[in-house]
Amino acid sequence: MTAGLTVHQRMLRPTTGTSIGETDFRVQTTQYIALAVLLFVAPFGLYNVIIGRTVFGTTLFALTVAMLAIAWRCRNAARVRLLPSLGMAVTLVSGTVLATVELRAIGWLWCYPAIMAIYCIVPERWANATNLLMLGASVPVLLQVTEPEFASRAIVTLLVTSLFSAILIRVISVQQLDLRRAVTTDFLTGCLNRVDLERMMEATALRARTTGEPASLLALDIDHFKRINDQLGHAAGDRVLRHVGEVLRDHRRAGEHVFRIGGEEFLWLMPATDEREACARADAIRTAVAAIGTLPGRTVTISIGGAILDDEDTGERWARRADEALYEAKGGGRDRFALAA
Amino acid sequence: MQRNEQRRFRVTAAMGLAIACTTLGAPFALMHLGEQDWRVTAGGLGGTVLLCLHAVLMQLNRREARWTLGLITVLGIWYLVHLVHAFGVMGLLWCFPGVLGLYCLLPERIAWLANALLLLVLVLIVGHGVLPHDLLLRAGATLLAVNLFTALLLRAGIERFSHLQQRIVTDPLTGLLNRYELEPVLESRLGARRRTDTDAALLALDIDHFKRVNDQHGHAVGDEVLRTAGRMLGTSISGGDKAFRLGGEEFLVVLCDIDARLAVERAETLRLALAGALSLPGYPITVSIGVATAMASDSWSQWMSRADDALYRAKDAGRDRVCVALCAGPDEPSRQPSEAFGAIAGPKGGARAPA
Repeated sequence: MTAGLTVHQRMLRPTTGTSIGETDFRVQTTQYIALAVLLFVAPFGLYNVIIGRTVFGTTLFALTVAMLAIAWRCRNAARVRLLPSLGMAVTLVSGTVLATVELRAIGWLWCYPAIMAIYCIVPERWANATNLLMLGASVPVLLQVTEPEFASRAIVTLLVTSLFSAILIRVISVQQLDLRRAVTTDFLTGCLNRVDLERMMEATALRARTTGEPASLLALDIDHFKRINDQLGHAAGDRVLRHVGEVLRDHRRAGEHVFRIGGEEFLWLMPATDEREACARADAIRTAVAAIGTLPGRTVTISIGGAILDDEDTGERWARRADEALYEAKGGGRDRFALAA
Repeated sequence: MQRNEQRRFRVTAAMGLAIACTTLGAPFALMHLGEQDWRVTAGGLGGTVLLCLHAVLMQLNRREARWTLGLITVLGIWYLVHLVHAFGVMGLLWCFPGVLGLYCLLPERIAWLANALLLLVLVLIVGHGVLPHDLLLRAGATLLAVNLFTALLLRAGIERFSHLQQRIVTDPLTGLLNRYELEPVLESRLGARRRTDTDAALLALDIDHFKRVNDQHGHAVGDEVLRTAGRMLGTSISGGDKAFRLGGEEFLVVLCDIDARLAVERAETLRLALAGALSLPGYPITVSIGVATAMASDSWSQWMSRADDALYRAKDAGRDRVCVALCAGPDEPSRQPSEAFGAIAGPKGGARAPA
């Protein structure tokens, strides 16, 4: 194990930064759509200006510019900006409805690519809403300007297309979320790993400061873990880690997060928890871990250091204080709890 | 790995599509039973049934449901072409959900091909004479746009899947695999051993006295040593071989198609190469390696613990060496706890010759 590496040192180690896995895929697809619009819609606009339909041609140009602006604004962001994208989506909907009024079937065909484009640039829920808007607006128009035979097919195929796109988006989103969860979860213990640690600590500290609530941080370490590994083998060591992880997760309350930050060390983030409660919780956790009985004839114990967030704490300082308290607990004979000054 | 995620996507999407078709497509087909050719209705209903069957098969089996998928693709394209041919623009409308359906059901590249085929047949062959010229032009353009947008959307999603999947199974420090994939990899090698008698060997590798490196030179240096070890192990393997970082300074290499003698040779080469690469100026760093070849009777954890035992004996015998696991069998004397404890008490004194 990376023995001797203290909690705050571990926190300071570089983690892999924001990556493609973290960004919303709509950021990427928005760029694609903008490119497609530039390549296909802009020349079409030019053509219309040349043949004398100046108003229509200029509108298409404006649309292209707006789409490029939207794509440019979100190019480095993690999420698309809702309002401009939504504005573009509504424009697309009204555009296809107007086209249907003017051109009937020929105009109607554009609503299918419009649906896909909307799903590419607008967050899921809003895209679904815009889709309903499209449906609501187009049904009376279709019934007015086309024969009922065509209208009924048009409505059903629009419904099916909307539904298929909604399913496609839903499946992609759920799966991305699932994978993202697996990235932040420690495989062995089921606790969180270090990926989101820093961010969550900062967020907890910030919330505590704005609401005036206390917040506590516990650093936990399994006593003499290296000995277990060396004497009984890694399988036994893994079993201990798994069981301890289970106990910790069982004792976690809503809003709390337990991280395994390496080897046999854990961090417990407790928002809205004051000193008295943190001490009581730490003792309860210690007792519960000692009662596991993973290894016959041997009690697995943990030492815990606690730090209550104070005014000077940065995330790093907070972790260091908890870590120092943990060392104090270890130095005091292990299997105990110590609170940072 | 990436393939698994793509498959998972298609399993869920197929189920969603099947439900959507059953609730929306099939009633519509029935509703129009009186107005149109009964064969069209039958085609729609049959397609729905086939889609449901495919969704269930995908859900139940680990394998790809190739037959149903092939049938759906071929019949689906044929059906859409027939609709356009028979009903003109009203048939054409069904091509839009059809395109989306193909993207949801088929593996990405095959979906591209199938949709290109559909577009080609519709616009170049069927469209002429059936659709008026201006409509045909728009049909081609809108179908192409739907194709493009859906393909790009799917690409963006799949890129994220593979990226996240990569992060899940990779150790961030060394870039080797982490424990996530350990069990399936070992199981698959053992499976091959049982089925086809393919040899496989495990090298359990540990950097000697790594804690001292960390303590004396700092964690930055320690991390650099680990990174170097990861790089060397990563480049030393090829083909189906895999290298893992199990945690801390422990590594595991799975070698395929290799007998015990060759495995020990590889381990020796690795030991020497690593000792050369890892050592700091004036501070030699060595590694110990335990070798265990796969036994048909092993479970993955037994195989691993035999390699672990061999590593342990290498450490016990003075480190900086390779030890081979004893042949596992019912008569194999297991390591006695007392021996193990004694060795821990005096790691330096335990310079016994390797068994």
